[in-house]
Amino acid sequence: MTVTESRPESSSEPPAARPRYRFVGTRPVRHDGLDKVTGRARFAADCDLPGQLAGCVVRSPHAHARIISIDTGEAEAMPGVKAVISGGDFPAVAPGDPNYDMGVNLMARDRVLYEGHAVAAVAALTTDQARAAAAAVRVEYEPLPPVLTIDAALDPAVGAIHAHMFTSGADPAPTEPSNVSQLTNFARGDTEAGFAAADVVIEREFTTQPVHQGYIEPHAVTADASQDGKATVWCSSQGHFNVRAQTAAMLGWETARIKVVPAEIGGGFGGKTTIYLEPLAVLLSAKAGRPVKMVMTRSEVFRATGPAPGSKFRVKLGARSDGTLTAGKAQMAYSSGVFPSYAAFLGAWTVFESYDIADFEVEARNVVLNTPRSAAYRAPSAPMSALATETVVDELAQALGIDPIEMRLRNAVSEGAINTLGAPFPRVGFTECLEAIRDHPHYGAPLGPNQGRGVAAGHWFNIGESSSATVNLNEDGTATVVTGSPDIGGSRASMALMAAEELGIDVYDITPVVGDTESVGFTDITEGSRATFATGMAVVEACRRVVADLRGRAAKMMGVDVSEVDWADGSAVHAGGEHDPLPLAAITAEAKKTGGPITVTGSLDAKGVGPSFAVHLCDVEVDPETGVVQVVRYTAAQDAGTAIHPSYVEGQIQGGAAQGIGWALNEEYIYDGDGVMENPGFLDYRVPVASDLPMIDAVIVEVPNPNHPYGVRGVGETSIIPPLAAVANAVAAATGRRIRDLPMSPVRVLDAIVNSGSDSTDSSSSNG
Amino acid sequence: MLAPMKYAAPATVEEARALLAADGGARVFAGATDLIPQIRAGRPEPSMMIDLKRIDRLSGIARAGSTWTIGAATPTADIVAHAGFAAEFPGLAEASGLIGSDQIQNRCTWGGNLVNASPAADTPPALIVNDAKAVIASAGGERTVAAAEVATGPGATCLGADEIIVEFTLASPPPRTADAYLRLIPRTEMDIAVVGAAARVTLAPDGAVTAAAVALGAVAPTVVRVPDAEAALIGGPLTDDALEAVAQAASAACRPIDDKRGTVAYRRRVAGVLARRAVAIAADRAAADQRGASS
Amino acid sequence: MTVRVHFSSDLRRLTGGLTEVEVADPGATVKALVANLDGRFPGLGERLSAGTAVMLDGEVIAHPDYEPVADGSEVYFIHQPSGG
Ligand SMILES: Cc1cc2nc3c(=O)[nH]c(=O)nc-3n(C[C@H](O)[C@H](O)[C@H](O)COP(=O)(O)OP(=O)(O)OC[C@H]3O[C@@H](n4cnc5c(N)ncnc54)[C@H](O)[C@@H]3O)c2cc1C
Repeated sequence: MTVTESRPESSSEPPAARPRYRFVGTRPVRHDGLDKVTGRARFAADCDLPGQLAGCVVRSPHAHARIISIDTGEAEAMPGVKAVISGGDFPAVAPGDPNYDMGVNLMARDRVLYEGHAVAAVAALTTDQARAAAAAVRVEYEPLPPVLTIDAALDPAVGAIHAHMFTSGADPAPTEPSNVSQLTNFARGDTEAGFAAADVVIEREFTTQPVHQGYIEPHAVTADASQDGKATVWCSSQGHFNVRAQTAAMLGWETARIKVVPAEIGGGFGGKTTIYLEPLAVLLSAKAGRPVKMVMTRSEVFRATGPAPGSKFRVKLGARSDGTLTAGKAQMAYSSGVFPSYAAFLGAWTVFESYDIADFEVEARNVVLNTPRSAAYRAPSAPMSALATETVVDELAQALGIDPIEMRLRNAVSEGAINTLGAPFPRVGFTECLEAIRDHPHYGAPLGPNQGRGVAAGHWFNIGESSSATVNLNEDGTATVVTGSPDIGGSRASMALMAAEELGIDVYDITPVVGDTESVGFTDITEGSRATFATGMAVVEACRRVVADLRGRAAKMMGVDVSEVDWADGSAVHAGGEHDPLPLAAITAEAKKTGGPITVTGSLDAKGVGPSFAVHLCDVEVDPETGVVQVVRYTAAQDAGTAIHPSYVEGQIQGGAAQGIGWALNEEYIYDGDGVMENPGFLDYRVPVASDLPMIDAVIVEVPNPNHPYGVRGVGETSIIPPLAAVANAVAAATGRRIRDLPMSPVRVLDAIVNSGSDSTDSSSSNG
Repeated sequence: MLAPMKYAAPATVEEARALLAADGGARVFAGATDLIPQIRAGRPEPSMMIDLKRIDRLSGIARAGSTWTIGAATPTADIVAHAGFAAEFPGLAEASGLIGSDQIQNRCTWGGNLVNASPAADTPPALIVNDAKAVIASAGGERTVAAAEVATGPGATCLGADEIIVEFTLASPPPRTADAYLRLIPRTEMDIAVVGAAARVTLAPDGAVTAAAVALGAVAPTVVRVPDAEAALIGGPLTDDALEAVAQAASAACRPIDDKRGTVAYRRRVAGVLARRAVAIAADRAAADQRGASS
Repeated sequence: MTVRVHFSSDLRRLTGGLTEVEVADPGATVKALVANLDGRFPGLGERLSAGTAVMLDGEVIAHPDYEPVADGSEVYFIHQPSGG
């Protein structure tokens, strides 16, 4: 096979300031690319084992009900049925147990808590038999009133869904259970004084609805439990070590009894950081004595897996006439579905994080509802908080007559600025991103009739966590790099590029592999934009130790002391020059004589994450008579630290922008009055289709992270943060109407255009 | 266990009708782009699927004299690609080319679109303003029914249990006549109409409207004709006032519902907007129609 | 040896309103420092050991228990972020 380097056109050339690398920053075709475009790649549902059964889940039609009885007798007697399980087959969990939420979410016990909640599962010879048997499981319910909105959850008169849930973080500690699971407060300085010092103060309310990650590949698993009490699980996830740990915990098994083999993943975006089917499939397999395969339908994905939370905010900011932000106040609520989450906490942390604001108060509540348990979605909680802050900042700029980029430049955090938590920022590239957009030809381009332009920024922390990598040198001087990070965005190519740079061999002489839980060291989930950062660090560490080993081998072959041997461009070089350089392949060819195979594992808990900023610029055209919004031009700048593989950095930027545009315009969970989801499919849950979007111009900004060997910051999440506000600000510019309730569907936009009184609940005041 | 579903591919209309009459659980299909998703979504499986695409008479586009005959199982992709047909019925071709995607249009048909009887279907309003007729094979022979009469409510039609639509007939439009179809969807494709509007206009050489038809989809249980809009147009030139009257008449003629795809108020308002725009496009096309000049 | 410790403002409930303290004899590691702080602010130790990261002299450390602290160290107790 010949592989040619592809260089898609890009408006952004890497800045000259960056160190020159041979491989890092180039755009080789990804190692997994050919299999993916030819259909040969094996995704979760492509695993089939001899004798396997089909599994099917029985799901609740009610949003909230007591389970009076479950009768599986008829189902068990049906043709082809080999096993039926329900809540009683799992280890008991009690409120307060660390496994309680996940255990109850996997399989209802005494109550169903949302429509689609699993109550039983069946395995049979064929899918049709399994479905028929699932339909024959008789469940008697006593419906209970569901809690379906943030307002209802905040109302103390509405009964608590969980009798054991008391608001954590509340002072004094509450004595009554509540649907508010958690309260976060951050504050600094004197907010009242800060607002008093402002020339303009603007306060607004915002709402957003739950949205799904929208990955194409539904959850799927094949499990094979053996007679010796072990099980192998094939599935796609963002972290197979996490799947192993959670599955073991749910079954009460020791970790070593479970092996998880990662399949190629057809999208995750945070939604595959948790489990839904795996313990069910293992239990059914153990009961039936045969492998069991389960594949969710799209409707199941929508009704039973985690969306991102909905939100309701009130945000107030004050600014002096020169644009300096003086004070901020945010009251926020996030709905995390039926179980608590960290959503409100992350929202509270992110809402004012991008700007240097002397005085602020943030209060955020996480509420629970009778809707599916929420899950992570790229930069969890930040898109909603940025919608609020970036809209109010936009309005302040407008009120003060200041250019929106200039307004942000005057307040942008930079190295040393104190963040929301009280800690100083490391070196960040927010200002550089703002300048990149300001200086882009798009910023000054003329607009047509009914068009408007909006700008918005976003920030994400990124995370480190644990990663492992094993580098094996082959006899002929090629190498295999095995990591434990599922590749959700091209990370294998980035691992190969960093290894090529370290070892000095061609990137195509390196095979990057994602190892199963028994083939590579523990690795945390691919989340928090951490894979290229942290797993990349592990690869670099392993490669550096490989090079140390190679130098020792070369010294032996040359008959000199190792201190006289350097490593340069893929060869061992004798410092004195008396010996010819030994290329890597010459050393691996002699490996048996110099000490045996050359293989090194690097494992670490990565320190020194580099936060990432992004600034997006959006032009929309609004049909004033129908409210239809078309995004006509979009430019997104983001600080990648260093772009290891620029194409996949651009892909992350474009993908996040596309998802954020969908969130802004049309995506939402729609429930009827009983809490039954009305749009569990891609017809009425409207992610953007290709023709809805312009080509998204990705501008890579590179302000290297000083704490990473190649300067990497994460890039996977920040890009979804600015679009909500960028689109909203553009719609406001096009129509003169601020829409603060998402999605900005045609119905809502036309309503705002026709009924202009939509600002009546908000307040804007001038102290001047 | 369920008996496995049977498949039949009859070669003649009579055979197809006989199969249908013999088995109450049997269903005919053309593209199956409605039928299969409905079965997947939980509707009862037919005992037999009768494929209409192997029947010669049901596929094809032909013109004899001033009459066009379109087989009921002709994929809409063929209709869109038929230059002669599309020149005479640009709006109907437009509606046929909006369905789903290229893949869907390679399979889906007018027959299926009409008999599925979704209030939001795209081709029925355009068939209706062109006064299309459905030729239906029945026990007693064939009968001809106006396209407007086929759907009687959501999912309900005038067809008897063993009846099949064989073909559609359309009269070639008179000179200086053209149609147009517009729909409102939140996305740009792969979506379902929140409002659909079809119009057909005939102009006199002086620009006066001599005939007009306006029909709306997705705003009532079945397609709504808007006679008040038609009356407001006929006899005069296409003024802004006339177009505004069309919009108001269309909004008034709607009987929409509130649902996840749109509100009553939105559908009413946008029905007027689309009807007005469709009339204007049809009139522009009619004015540009060269056939009028040569006759 | 003395280190300066900063708490995020949501911990003020446990620190009697303080967001910053000097610790004179902090022990050799972050873990020892936390034990020391727990003696002064009962309940803080439990809270800090659950999912708390530190920023120590400019670097975020997710699992800091055995991280050495030195004279003059600036220690920020922050929260462990997560992601998608
Ligand atoms: C992804 C997707 C997108 C879609 N987008 C649109 C859209 O944009 N606009 C739109 O209007 N529709 C859309 N549809 C619906 C569907 O494609 C159309 O309604 C299509 O015209 C149906 O034609 P068909 O031949 O596939 O019907 P089939 O599924 O074959 O049949 C539909 C019904 O009609 C009956 N039937 C079919 N032919 C005959 C006949 N000759 N005589 C008697 N009964 C008959 C069948 O028994 C069945 O009840 C979409 C569907 C999909 C899957």
